[in-house]
Amino acid sequence: MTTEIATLLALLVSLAALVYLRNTDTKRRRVFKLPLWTKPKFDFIAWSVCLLPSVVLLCLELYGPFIMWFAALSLLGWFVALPKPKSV
Amino acid sequence: MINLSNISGRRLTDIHGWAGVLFGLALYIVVFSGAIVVFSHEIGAWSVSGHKLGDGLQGKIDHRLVELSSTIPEEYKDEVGIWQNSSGELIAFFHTHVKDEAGKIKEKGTRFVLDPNSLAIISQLEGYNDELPHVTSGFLEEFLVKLHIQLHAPDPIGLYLTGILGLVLLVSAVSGFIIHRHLIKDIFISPRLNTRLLNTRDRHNLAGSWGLVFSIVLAFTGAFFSFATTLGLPVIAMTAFGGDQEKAITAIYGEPAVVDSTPEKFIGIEDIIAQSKQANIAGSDPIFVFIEHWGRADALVSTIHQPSDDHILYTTHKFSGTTGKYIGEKSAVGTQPSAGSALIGMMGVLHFGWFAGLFSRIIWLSLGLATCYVTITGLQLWVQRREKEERWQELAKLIPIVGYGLPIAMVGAAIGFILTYSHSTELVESWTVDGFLIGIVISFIIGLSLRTAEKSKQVLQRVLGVGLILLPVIRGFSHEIYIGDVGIVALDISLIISGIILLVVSRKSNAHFIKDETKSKDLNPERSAYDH
Repeated sequence: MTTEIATLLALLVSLAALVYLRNTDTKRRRVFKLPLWTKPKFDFIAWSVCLLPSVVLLCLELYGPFIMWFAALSLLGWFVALPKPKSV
Repeated sequence: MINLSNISGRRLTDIHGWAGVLFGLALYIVVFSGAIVVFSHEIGAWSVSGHKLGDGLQGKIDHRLVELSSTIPEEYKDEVGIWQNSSGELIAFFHTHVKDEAGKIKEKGTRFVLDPNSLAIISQLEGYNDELPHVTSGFLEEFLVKLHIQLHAPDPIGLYLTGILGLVLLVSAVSGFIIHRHLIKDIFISPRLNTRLLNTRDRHNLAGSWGLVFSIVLAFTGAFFSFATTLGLPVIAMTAFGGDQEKAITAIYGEPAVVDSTPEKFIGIEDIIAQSKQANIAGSDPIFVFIEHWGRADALVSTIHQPSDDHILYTTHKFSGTTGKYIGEKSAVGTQPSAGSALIGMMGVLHFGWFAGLFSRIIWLSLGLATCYVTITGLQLWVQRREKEERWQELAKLIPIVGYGLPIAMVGAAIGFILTYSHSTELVESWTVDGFLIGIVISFIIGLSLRTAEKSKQVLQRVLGVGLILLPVIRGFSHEIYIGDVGIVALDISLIISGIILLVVSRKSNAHFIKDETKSKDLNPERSAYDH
């Protein structure tokens, strides 16, 4: 059960970062004719947070959750990017 | 991403496209069946309604094994493999190694299939391992696994084929990565609806970009497993052991430290299994027990264990066959722990996803299906960019036929298996295969008789949806239902939900595209699919 919980927690952290990155993504906003993001952007920090679980899981020697997080991240990113913005 | 000259970019685009067009559908068959066989054990148990319950390997089996060993020729006690298949039946294969007429080393012996509860003999057969008939209860599982591993082609051609397809996937993924110039910029662009072509391109690029790393991992590890024994071992034997494959195998897998053929009583495996389950050894139930030199002073017992919470790799532990004393953990390759051994273990973890129970399997199933999606959208992109070329429209028709035909054929195989399971082994084998072939024929008839690929896709979705919903019903009527088996009920529910989703999806009309695609500049096949 520890494995599943650790993986889910790691994925939740990455999910939050990916949603922020998607919502502030310049090209996505331009393509779907959304208003430009005028507030400060923290892309580097967001990508760091997205990948942070990898460091934490490896430091804690949770190799199973690390591999699952790494694999599921590709699916998570896809599912986050897939829906069109609501205003379109 | 990577700066390429126009010529290099065009060449790579050609390689990417043609690799997909020539091998895409075969690749889809291997990847889709691979995604499904992530759950092969569950499918195996489900196909026989999990009704062979009993202690099996965990029970009192020593006395029975001694009885069986007294009925077989002495030389077959050289090695004994004992395991339980997905339906719970206990299989004990007493064997030795002999050269066949062609000089090839083969396992020859007696195979017992036992009821896991009463330990009564279900079947007893003698012969070469690869010529023995299948164990009936595991046939559907084996059929699906063989489809993934070797496309049911003879050995080793099938392994070469799937190995080559693994390399094709690797080439496609790497070339796709290089030619997609805006991979990072486009990583959050959801598929646009301007034109059908642009929509397909966005869908392909988005799924391909996110799944890139794992496509490479799955392709590389898959190709490795296909070529390791068919090409790798002979090459190692040729280069390092003067062509002697036996010597090479001994060096790779190791041999017993001491050879002593003095007769001595075999201690049995019950205590050894109990020991192996202790937290300081494997900490889990063994899935396979291997006995070397039964009844000799140098007898050895190896127990193979699935990954546990603390360990992501499969582990093998060795015990003395005369005293039961724990000798130590055995490396996957060689006699000592090494980076190579760990690497091979990791290849298995990354390819099969069998290291953290149901959760990791669900992720690996999804990864496989995502790779299928990239393959199919890539093919759709190719034919949509050549919409006015008649010859490519045949391929357009073939995409839904294979795309939905494969799962329909798998459903057909499952129905054939379930309906004949209570009859003879021959009937089960022939009807599982026939069910699969009937599924293919139905898909082709539907696909070729309808005018457009879009229409055939809709009808095939409905056929598959109905088939998936029918499977649990047919299983329920054919076998005794065990409500207590959560895995079987969960699989039933998953099949019904998948079937309903397909029926709902098939009713939806196509997305409305903003522009008239016949006027779109994206239709120009000369334009690179990756230029924005």
